[in-house]
Amino acid sequence: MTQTKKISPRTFYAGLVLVTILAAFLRTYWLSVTQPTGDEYYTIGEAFDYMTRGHFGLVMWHHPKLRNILVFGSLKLLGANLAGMRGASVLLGTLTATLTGLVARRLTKSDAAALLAALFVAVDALHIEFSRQAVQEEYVPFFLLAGIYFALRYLEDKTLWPLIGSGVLFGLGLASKWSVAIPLVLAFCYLSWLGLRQRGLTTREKASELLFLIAALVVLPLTVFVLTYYPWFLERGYEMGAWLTSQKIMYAENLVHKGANQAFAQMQDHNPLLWFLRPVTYADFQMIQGRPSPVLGVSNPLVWLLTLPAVLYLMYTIRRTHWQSLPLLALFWCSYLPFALTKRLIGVNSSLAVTPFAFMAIASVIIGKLPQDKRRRNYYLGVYLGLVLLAAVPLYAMAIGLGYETFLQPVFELYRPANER
Amino acid sequence: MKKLAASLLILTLSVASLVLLNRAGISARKELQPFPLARERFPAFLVKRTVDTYALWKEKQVHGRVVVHLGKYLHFMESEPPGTTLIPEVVKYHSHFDDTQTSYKNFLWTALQTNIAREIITVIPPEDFKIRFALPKGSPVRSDVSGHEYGSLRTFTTRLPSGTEPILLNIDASFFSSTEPDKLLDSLLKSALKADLVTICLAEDNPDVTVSDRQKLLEFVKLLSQHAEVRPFVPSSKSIAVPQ
Repeated sequence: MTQTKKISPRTFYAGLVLVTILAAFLRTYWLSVTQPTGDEYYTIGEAFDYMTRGHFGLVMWHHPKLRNILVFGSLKLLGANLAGMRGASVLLGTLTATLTGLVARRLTKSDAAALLAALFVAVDALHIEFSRQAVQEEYVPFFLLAGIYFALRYLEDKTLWPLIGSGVLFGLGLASKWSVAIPLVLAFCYLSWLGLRQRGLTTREKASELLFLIAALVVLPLTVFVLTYYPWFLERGYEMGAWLTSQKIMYAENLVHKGANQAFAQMQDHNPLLWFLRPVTYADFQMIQGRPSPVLGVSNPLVWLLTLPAVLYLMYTIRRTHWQSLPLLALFWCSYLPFALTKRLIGVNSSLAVTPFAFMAIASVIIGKLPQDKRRRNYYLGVYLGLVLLAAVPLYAMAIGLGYETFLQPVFELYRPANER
Repeated sequence: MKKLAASLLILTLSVASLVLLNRAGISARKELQPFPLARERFPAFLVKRTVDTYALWKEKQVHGRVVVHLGKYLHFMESEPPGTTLIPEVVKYHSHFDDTQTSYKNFLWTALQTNIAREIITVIPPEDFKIRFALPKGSPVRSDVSGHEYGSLRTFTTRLPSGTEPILLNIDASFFSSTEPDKLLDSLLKSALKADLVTICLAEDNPDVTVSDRQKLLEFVKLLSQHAEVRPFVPSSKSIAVPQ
């Protein structure tokens, strides 16, 4: 793992604030002009159907229901407009960059790597694309990272509140997408293992630690998850048995879900094994009043394609670094493998829960491999960052729906649906 | 000690909140005085149109219920949302469910959307069931067909359901396309079903229901009158938002 010159905490936090401001700017610029996707219109309808009548429906109904609550709340707070429907995604998407920095700082033990990882998230076209849509994709990395952050704080402070906070945040992550369950199980097992191997604790104290972990990281997240279904219970008259049945139905749909527009889904990247092997995309190609209005998220190859080499390098050097990178590697693999191994189509949108850990690994290796000489180190890092940001500019334009009329048009046209050709 | 106390507090609050949620869900159901169908002189309503059944449910303010519908048709055609792309219009449309488009084509779908029903069991005569689910003509119907509308359960069966929860029972004239009135009455009286609203529907608004089906339904009403108090129901203009 990285052993570079320490940055002062003040500099680190100042850097993180700057990255957060950049992330916020990139997620809000031109926001009220970017046309809503078809899914976004449906999410408004579903949010109101759910909150006023307890109904699931139409778009991605098989996912948990936090999105309905947040989109509804955001529309009520900010008004029935584009900012209102996207408010929650913009906020959580922005803070995902911040949390990436905070979590990376603890997992990589390098402030510079943490800032670099946060910057990767801040300028990543796919994170930006989904932070500007009223869908739940960006909620997943936010709540996942927030849950991990507070779990790590619990390890440092050993006070109760961080773990309780972690349980609530993991619960909200589960209520965004079920895939958060796997990192949650990992966090629970890791903390239990650390708790039980603590020296000097009596059996009773160890039992008390284990009980607290079960209460905070098993019972509490599940309770929060179930409570997000309150409109369904209260408006429709359902009971807990029916809730379990509905979860089974949703799970069954999850196993076979192919999207509302299967022909269009087939044109997209939907194989997670490719995510880190070549540039991948997520497209929404719409026609507004007869004119194309596409948004296109493309992964930045100068970052994404370094994932597997970085992860493999960290695995290769894990003994030399006294297993320091084990939690990061475990988080990466347990976030990535369930998608990589699943048989049904998985869109690139699901990668948002994996890329923060991928970016942490990349940043950690890059910072660790830089030469000790300050001048050379800054030169290499500057050149690399310059290239990353240069590549990020056109990717950003495409992600926010700009640039169709420019030299980027042929790229957009690759994703024009057959019925619009 | 702190951890133990915190754990017990979390466990207690979690269990309490889930129990309360469960109870709140059940108490959101609204029903009238239930009665077993085997009871003598139970009340039943004779309605002219399928939409009148919906109007009666609405007027009686029943909510969150299991509907058992006996009939050949499903009445589940979804009404299309407006094709607007204006966000305030989309918000307005979805803020309150509009039931003015209710008709014989969709009154059960509307009942589900307005939360009168939370689950629908459609009992279809065996011969019509085989046609609908493409089963071989001579073979017996071995099992029910289960489905759902975005998670809300729907069951298609040829038998009266069992269960202890009081139901909203609707007998549509179309059920008599391949069932005899005395046979249905016998099954109903022998069943352990409990209901709080029983409707018998002439389905005059459904052009697919034949005169013969309606005549058989009236025969059924005659037979039922020996066991039940059958009263006509005409919706008040206030209770019904559906087109007259």
